[in-house]
Formats: sequence, structure tokens, C-alpha cells
Amino acid sequence: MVARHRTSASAAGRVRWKRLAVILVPAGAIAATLVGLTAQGAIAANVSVSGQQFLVTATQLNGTGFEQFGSEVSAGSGTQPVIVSGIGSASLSHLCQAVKAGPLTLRLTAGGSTPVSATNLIVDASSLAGSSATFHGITIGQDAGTLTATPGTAGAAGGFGEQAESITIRNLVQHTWLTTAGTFTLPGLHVSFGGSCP
Amino acid sequence: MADFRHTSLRHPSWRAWRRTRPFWGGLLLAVAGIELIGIPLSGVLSHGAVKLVIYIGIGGVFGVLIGVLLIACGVAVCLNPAHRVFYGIAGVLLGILSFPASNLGGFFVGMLLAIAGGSMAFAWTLADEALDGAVPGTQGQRMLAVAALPAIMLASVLAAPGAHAATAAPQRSGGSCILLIICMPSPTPTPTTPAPGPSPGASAAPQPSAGTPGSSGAAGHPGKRRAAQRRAAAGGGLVAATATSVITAGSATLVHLAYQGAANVPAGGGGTVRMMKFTATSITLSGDVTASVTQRGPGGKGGVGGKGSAGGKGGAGGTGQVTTLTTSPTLAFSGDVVLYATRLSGCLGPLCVTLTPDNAVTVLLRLASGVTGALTLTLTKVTTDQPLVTAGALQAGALKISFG
Repeated sequence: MVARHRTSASAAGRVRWKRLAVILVPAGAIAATLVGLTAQGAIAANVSVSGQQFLVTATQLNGTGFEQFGSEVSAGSGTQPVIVSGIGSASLSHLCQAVKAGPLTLRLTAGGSTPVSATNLIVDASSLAGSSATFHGITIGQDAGTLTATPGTAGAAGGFGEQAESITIRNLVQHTWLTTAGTFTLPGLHVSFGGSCP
Repeated sequence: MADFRHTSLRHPSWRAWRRTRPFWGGLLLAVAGIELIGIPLSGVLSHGAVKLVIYIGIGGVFGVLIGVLLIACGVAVCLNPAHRVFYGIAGVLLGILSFPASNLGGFFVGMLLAIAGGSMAFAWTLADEALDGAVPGTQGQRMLAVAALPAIMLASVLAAPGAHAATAAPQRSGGSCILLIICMPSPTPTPTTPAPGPSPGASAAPQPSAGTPGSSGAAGHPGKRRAAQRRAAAGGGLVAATATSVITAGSATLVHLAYQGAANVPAGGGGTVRMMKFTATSITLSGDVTASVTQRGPGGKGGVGGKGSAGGKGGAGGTGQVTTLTTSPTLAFSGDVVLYATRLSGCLGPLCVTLTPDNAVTVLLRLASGVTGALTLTLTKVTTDQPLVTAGALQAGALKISFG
């Protein structure tokens, strides 16, 4: 290489279009396939937007291995109290997530026909509402430090917590600070700008 | 390196420096990296937003890592054009990888920039290598394409965001990995097994919960559930929260209520709490049911939750006090309900009583013990302190949890 540069007067170069196509076409194909598979829910994507509250709605949430306790997240000037919900295995119908990204509102919807599914879903919310909720095998008032429904997630000893074997919430509306999940499959993914969730 | 420095000295202009290396490809790679890092940090940068940056798990790490690597690729390809093929391919792969790993590739933008930049770095060649019959192109064409390529890609994203979902097309894998690398960002091996997507129930998930695993179908296995409840009632793993909690309701309908005596229940953080223990086949609360949980003090980080949760001012050592309110028009517990409480008050018709572990027996006897054995007992103006409830099922009306 060095020798070639010496012989070249200017060593200027440019993009070769055949060469570009050689890599751009397969890369584009792989990326498109990946997007397509994710949109179908075959591949789990990792979405971890944080830094502001965002709205999450779903027409129905089904989960097994549910627990809930209070905690807090650090904010710039202090802390924000949050309700932490952990669900070992969750499915959400008509999931909608609205995030304000600067002047734009980014709206992400998924799970229209096939529900969105997530494992080890952990949501830190500042408020949570549903038109109805059904729990099975529930314990309320359990010490938050001893919760076992979602492995690896528990609150502080002495805190108030609850857990249930299974849960169903209809018309879920959450204002969320942080959402993490081991895996998230998003069938029927649609990302758009503007608008909000119903 | 020395050669390039020498070259740029002979042609000291900025334009000459650019022309001697895959500058635009490198620039796009670096911009892609900045965008991928910037998405999660947007809350910090945007004015007025609470500066909250928390990353749990592998997602946040991957976003930052991929962004940093892309920036490094972009810079390196400019400083060391000889290795542009390596940096170009690395940039393309990182861009593709960012889609599943980092906020859908920075919501497509970062992914497309990285693929475009990496491809251009890869495709860049020295002028004297053009002799091997490559398609000739003028500088004007190149510049136009450099500007147009990412612009077209961006425009397609912004103008038709749905189009990407539409590309979903017919191919449907069985849910397994396409490439080994795509499986990597997932912290669990789930993607290697059929993705849980199509089976919404996903009920097979192993959940070492306190009760019977997987028996979510309530009515299906009453026997099993009863066994689980007995286990719970026997104190197996049942630990009471010590946060201040109160449930109030306009009325409570209790079916087959029985007082089981005072019990010492293990409490969170050690020790025990003396509580009354009741059993019932069902308890239905109605009339502005409110569960309020308050926790204060620096001791309890995180603190309180669930049906009314309050985050104490934990770790930081604050002494704030947070109350969480859970409201619902009705809460219906059924399926071998066990209720522990330190205090229970309510009115039976005109007669209002307050039960505590010390007076419960006396009061109940005075109330005519026959009443509690009756099929159904309805109390009004019910208040329960430090409730600890286990039940086979809970049906709640319009539920709302918020901070008071």
C-alpha cells in the first residue's frame, strides 16, 4: 500500500459505484429482512428509550409471573417515585407508545393482530390505570423484598408489594419513565411521527 | 500515515485532504454513531426534561457501544484509509446490528447512515486503482451521489414510515436466528428458540412463583390453588410489608368469614408483626375502594408498591414521604381468601366496632359469635390497617394507581 501511495502523485481517490453496490445491496437486503422479521415479531428488538416520560397504552395486557412494588428513579434534581411492575411473560394487544423526541412525537404501534410479547418486562411508571383488572393467585401486602414472581426483580425490604401468578388488565394506560425487557417481539411494528396514543 | 501527512502538506487545502481519503463515508459513520448515542441521551440534552438516564440491562450498553464503535470507525477510516475495507465492513455490520440492539437502529436513521457510510468507505479507491476497469465517474457525479444517497434514504424513512413495516413481506422464519450475530444482543437465549410472538399466552414460561406455577386458569384447578393457598397461609414465604398501608371501602361483603386468631407474621426487615388472621371464601369491597400506602424515611429504598405504592426517598438518604393511592370502584377477592390485618374497623348496621389482635375475640363474642359464622356479613365504612391478603383471584373494576 505504502509503495502505491508513493507512486501516485495526488493519492486522490473516489467511490467506485460497482464496489459500492457489492456491499450496499447485500447490506440493504439484510437490513430490510431484519426490519421485516422484527415487524412480524420473529425477531426481538431492544427498545430502551428513557430520559422522559412516555405514554404506553394497550387494549389488553396478559401476563404470568406478575409483581409490583414502589421504587424511585433518579432524576436530575432529585428522585421520581415510580411504580415498578415486573412481568415474567407478557403479551400486549394493540400496544402504542408515544415518545417526545425534541419537537417531534414519535409513535410506535405494534401488536394489532398478533399481540406483542415480552419476557422479563419491567416497567417503571408514574401512574397506571386500567378499565378492569383480574389477578389470579394474588398476594397483597407482601414485603417488597421477598417478591419472587419475576426472578431477579424485587424491591427494598419493608416496602409494600404484591404479586400474582397471572394478571389481565384491559385498556391499560401508563405513564412510564423506563421500560426494559429481556426480549420484545413487535409484530406489526409501525413507527410514525406525530399523533399520540388513544 | 507519514505518506498521507506528506501529501496533505503538499496540498494543504482542506479539499485535498478530503480527496485523499474516504472522508464522506467516514463522516456518515461518525454521524450515525452520534445519532445512536444521542437517542437515549435526548432527555438530558432537551431543555426542561427531567435529566433521567438509567440503563438497566444490555440494551443501553449496546446502544452506546455501537455508537462509540461507529464513531471510531468513522474517524479511523479518515486517519488510516489503507484499512478502509475493514472499517467499511465493520461500519455496515454495526449499522445492521444496531437495529435489533439499539432503539431500532436509532429509529432507522442511524442504521441507514451507518450502512451508507460504511458502504462508501468500502467502495472508495485511489484514483490510480481505477485503471482496473472500474466504471468511470466524474467528481461532480460523486459529490452529487454523496449528498443524494443518505438524503434519499432519510426521505424514504420520514415520508413513508410505514413502508418499513410493509417490507415485512411474506418471509417468516420459524423464529430462529438468521445470523449468529443477530442473536447476540439478547440477554436471554430466547431468540434461538421459537420467538414467543405468535403464542401470546406464553404460559410455558417457568415462573417459580409462590403459588402453583402455570395454573393461571383459575377455575381449572381449584384443588391445586387451595393447596397453594394453604401453603401460603402456613407462613411459607409470607412476609408482611412494614410500610403504612390502609384500605378503606364504603362497604365490604364477607362470605364465610372466620376469625382464626392472632398470628405473628414475619415482617420485612426482620421481626414479626402481631396480626389478626381471617379467612373467607370471598371478600368484596365496594364504594370508593382506596388503598393508600405511605412510606417515609431513608431506610426503605424504593419502598412501597403494588396496590398503592410509595417510593420512599431511598438510597439518597432523604426523609421524604410518598403516598401511593390505588382506587377502584370494586375489589372482589375470591378463592380461599386469607386476610391479615393489624386493625379492622367497620359498622354492622348502626353498631361500629374496631378489632385489634388484642380485643378481637372479646368484641366478636360480644357481637354474637353466630353472626360471623353466618353465610354473608356486610360491613360498612370499612378500614383495614396493614392488610396482607392472599386470594385465588382478584377482580378489580376501573383500576387507577397514582402518587398522591
